[in-house]
Amino acid sequence: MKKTLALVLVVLLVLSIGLTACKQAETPATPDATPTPEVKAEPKVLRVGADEPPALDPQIGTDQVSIGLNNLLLEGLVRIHDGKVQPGMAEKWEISADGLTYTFHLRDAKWNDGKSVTAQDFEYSWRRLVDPKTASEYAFQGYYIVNGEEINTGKITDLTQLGVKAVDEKTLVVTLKAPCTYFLSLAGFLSFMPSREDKVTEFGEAYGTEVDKFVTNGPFLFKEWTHEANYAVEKNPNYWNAAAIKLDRIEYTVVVDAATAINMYEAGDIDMVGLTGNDIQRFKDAGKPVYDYMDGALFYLQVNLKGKSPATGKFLANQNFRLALGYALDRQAIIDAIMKNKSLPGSRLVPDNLMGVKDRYTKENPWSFWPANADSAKAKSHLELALKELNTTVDKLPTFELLNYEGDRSRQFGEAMQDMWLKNLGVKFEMKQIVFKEKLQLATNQQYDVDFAGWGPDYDDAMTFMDLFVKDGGHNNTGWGDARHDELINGAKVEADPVKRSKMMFEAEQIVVSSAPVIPIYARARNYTMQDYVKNVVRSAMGADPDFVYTDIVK
Amino acid sequence: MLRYIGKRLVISLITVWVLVTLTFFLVRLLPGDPFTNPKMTPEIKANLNKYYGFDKPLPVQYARYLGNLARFDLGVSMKYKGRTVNGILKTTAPVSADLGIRAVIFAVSTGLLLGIIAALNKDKVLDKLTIFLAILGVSIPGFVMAAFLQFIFGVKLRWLPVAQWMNPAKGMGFEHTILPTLCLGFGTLAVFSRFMRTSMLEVVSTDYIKTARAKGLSPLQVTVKHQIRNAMLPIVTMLGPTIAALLTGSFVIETCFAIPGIGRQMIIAMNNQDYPMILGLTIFFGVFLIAMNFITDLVYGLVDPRIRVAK
Repeated sequence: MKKTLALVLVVLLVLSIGLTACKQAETPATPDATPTPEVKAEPKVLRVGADEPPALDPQIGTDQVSIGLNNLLLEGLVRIHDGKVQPGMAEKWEISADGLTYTFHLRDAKWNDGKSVTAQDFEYSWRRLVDPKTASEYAFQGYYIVNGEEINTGKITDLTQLGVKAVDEKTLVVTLKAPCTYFLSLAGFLSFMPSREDKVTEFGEAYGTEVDKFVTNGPFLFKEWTHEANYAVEKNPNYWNAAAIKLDRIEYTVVVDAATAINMYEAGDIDMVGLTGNDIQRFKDAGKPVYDYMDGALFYLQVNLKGKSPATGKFLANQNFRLALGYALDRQAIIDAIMKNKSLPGSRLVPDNLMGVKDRYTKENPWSFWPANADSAKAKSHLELALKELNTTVDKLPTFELLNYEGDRSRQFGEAMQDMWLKNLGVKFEMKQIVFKEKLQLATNQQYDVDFAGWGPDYDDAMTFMDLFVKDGGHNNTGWGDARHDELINGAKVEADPVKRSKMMFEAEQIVVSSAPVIPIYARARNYTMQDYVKNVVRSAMGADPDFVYTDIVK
Repeated sequence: MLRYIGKRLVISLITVWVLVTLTFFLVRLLPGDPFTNPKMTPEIKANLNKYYGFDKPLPVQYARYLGNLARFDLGVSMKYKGRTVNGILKTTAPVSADLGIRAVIFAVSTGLLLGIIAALNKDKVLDKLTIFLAILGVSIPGFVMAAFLQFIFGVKLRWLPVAQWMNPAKGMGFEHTILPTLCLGFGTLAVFSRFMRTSMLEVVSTDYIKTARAKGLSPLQVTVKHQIRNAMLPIVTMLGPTIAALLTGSFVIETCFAIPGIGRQMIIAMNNQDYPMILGLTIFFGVFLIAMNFITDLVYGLVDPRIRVAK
């Protein structure tokens, strides 16, 4: 026994010497970049860091990674690029005068296995989206279509009742429940991209989990996927608009750690990388380009009017108390200290990048409720009013709870706000940082006082933020409600006149923001750096981000 | 002997069952569930609950899970939609094991070597150096060391790749394993070198070493044949748990070096409350640890009959 053991250990020793020797021999051999010897045009390859795609099946996927990759692999009836609707699988379409019926005319296009893309493929996919058996998390995207909600909630079991009909191989007629000015922009979203019945039947749940268990019809072909390590796409020469596609190949490396991704960028392994906090200044100081864009997300405080306990609820239900909380915050100072970028102080509920009638909604309806800096005088006067209304004094104020996300940056946000409330109002907050899903559950159950939360747009219209605070709505965790506000929102949802509709939303926005069940903090800007030879990467607040579809490499 | 093995086997199986049962019910006690998603309506959530069978009473779900488990079916991940837990284990576990074996070889061999050198040079410069190294190894967290090595060897000197695991098909070879192996093994190396040093110094004062010297063996012979060999014995007890710990992956090292291993999966599963993945990974880690203990017990039994008798 001892002898064998000794032998094993000797072998280990020898091996380890071998290892160290190899290290020395191999290290200098690692090349920085090998120029290809061919004189022919060098293939244009973009290399980026990314996460593992959780679900490529278009009716199942909901996450940014799957949306971004499918933007290249698949194509819906239309393509959304840089916030604009472009023809996709449909070369043209007509909209009826009442805004309810859309007739799409499909072009001749092929799936990657050579089969034709048909109107029936879309009919199947859209029915599949709302079919309760599919259990799609984003089935609500289909609720705009006649009987979409009824089918998904089990009130109608016949899928053919859905307002989507393939009249022939190339014509698809869609009937909406109510006019929807942004329906075309929705039709380009992942949930409405096509899947194919024969393959879904063949692979079942595994559809979209491997390169060979997926069919695609988009500008790029799926070439490689080593789970959790890397994946790659290559230009589809048979794509109808192949002339507009410049890249030959995109290589994705699965890297989730931000610091590692930055190191990889600096070592030349990837061509672009996201930057946050101190790295933004470090790159600027080094003379490297730093780009920024608004990602569409708004971060805000939602206030539980019932409170976690009656003691806190008493105050939180008071509008003046909530206004005091909002005025005590110095939004710009928080952004400068923590985000260190061009994030904007949250002055209202609808962020700047959403569409109005003809231009941005915020441009058509200019308004600013919350100041960028703290207004401690106003905050104090609202607090005094609140105390008077509640017939109590400052020293009787309970300690409130601030529900917060996990992570360092969120903690900094929380601490900054705690500090400002204490300094400007003398109101004490305790912070509770927990895992996202648990936080969401507590918010849904209204087991919190004030919750630091965020919302990202689902479609390019102000309504994606506006309908959050309808009384008893699925996303309203505050207990706040206002009859006039709800009347305006529900009216706007069926209003066919876009100008009238926009006015109704604006009035509703003013009601909810000035009542302060929700206190906007900041609209988020993000930063990244990129090699100079990478051209035409589109960053956007909705849909695929980053959008590499027309990206080019010019060396 | 057979009875001893049989008994250990039964105990191991019961341990696995207790583990499965506890985990199954404990994950359900967490607030929230796999479908907690800010965009979802209650009706859609009901569809999902039905799809995954969560609308059934908990005991029914438990019985079904045990039934599947008996057929080695760990279910389907809820985060990585449609991918089986077995499939994910199959792709990630070998990578972690590969890295783990490299780290064990590196850490144990270098650790023992340093321990021997330190013991032979007791209280001299070399000894102090290994003590210093050991303190570093135990006190520097993995992610700090990873960031430091990445920056020096990957970004500044460009000798080694910053991250990614080796993939011969893509021309990524051995050089991709060096930094992660160093980072993962360093802590263990430190522990083993200190342990070996102490063990060596204990052995040196024993009678049989004196006897060996007295009968005129050369110092080299005494050291190699008697001192090192006997000093290594206590190290065996440490090998089992060390191997188990290193082979089952490290969240920190795998995340820092973008390695597609299993260590990262547990954190992803927990954050997403991916029940089948949490359960599958717990069972996998549990069975692995129990198996390692079982093997260690067997080896003890073989080496030392007193252990068998005592049981």
